[in-house]
Amino acid sequence: MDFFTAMNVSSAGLSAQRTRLNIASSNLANIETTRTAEGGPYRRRQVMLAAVPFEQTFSELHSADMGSKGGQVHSVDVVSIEADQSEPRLVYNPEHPDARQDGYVAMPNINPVSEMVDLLTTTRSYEANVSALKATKSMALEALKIGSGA
Amino acid sequence: MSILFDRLSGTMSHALDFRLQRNNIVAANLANIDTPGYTPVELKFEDQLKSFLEGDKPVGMSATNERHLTHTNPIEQGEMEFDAYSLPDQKGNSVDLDHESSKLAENQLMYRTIITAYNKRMSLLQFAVREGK
Repeated sequence: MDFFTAMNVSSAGLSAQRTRLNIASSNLANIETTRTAEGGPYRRRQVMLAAVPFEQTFSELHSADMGSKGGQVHSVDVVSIEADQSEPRLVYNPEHPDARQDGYVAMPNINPVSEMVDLLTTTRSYEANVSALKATKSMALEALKIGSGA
Repeated sequence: MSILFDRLSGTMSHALDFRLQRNNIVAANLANIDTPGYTPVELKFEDQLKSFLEGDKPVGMSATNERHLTHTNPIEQGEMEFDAYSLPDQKGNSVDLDHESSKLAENQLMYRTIITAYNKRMSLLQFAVREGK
């Protein structure tokens, strides 16, 4: 238990939110992409987050085991970036080079509104982690003033 | 017991430890604000102290014989529990941003308060050491 626990956890949160931001931007950038390396239109990507126990030393592991109901401090980790398996959006456009026989073009399954909402919540979550980090930093600085005389 | 390193300074350092641990937990809750299925945790202390003072249930070990060893500081640590403040969302996550932010601010303020009190006490002692000059 020290200040660096909170700082490390907050920075893991920051990097997880940054990954979400990158993926949301990439989804918006590829909203009209019909050609990809794996073939077919671009598929919407999603970031999978998981809570991972944050342990540094044996004594912390030990004290976390001792009679705690809610477990211990959990950090966050990006476990995978997965493709959305929903059906592509079909747009009738026979002039398009990638149009099928029936004149429909398979477009990426991306909803710009939900991507924008994702982008906003990511920003807010990032800010929340920044304020937690700031709070930890100011507490650590305050601790340096112990005994300096008020 | 010496006047410089008495129980009060021990209690204060325990209080600072507790505030730091609570800060770590709030930071972890905020880091997991978008993790599916995550339930926030919190450190219970005030409730435990209250029930201890009201004598509802003893916290720690009790001594029935004068030679028994008791825990000298039974409620220094607090207990980690799931924070059932708000309902989970569609992804099963129940971290409430406002609740966590207010806990963060309150905790920071309390940390400062303890340090200010400690410094005040030290400056009083210093005043005595300097013979009131």
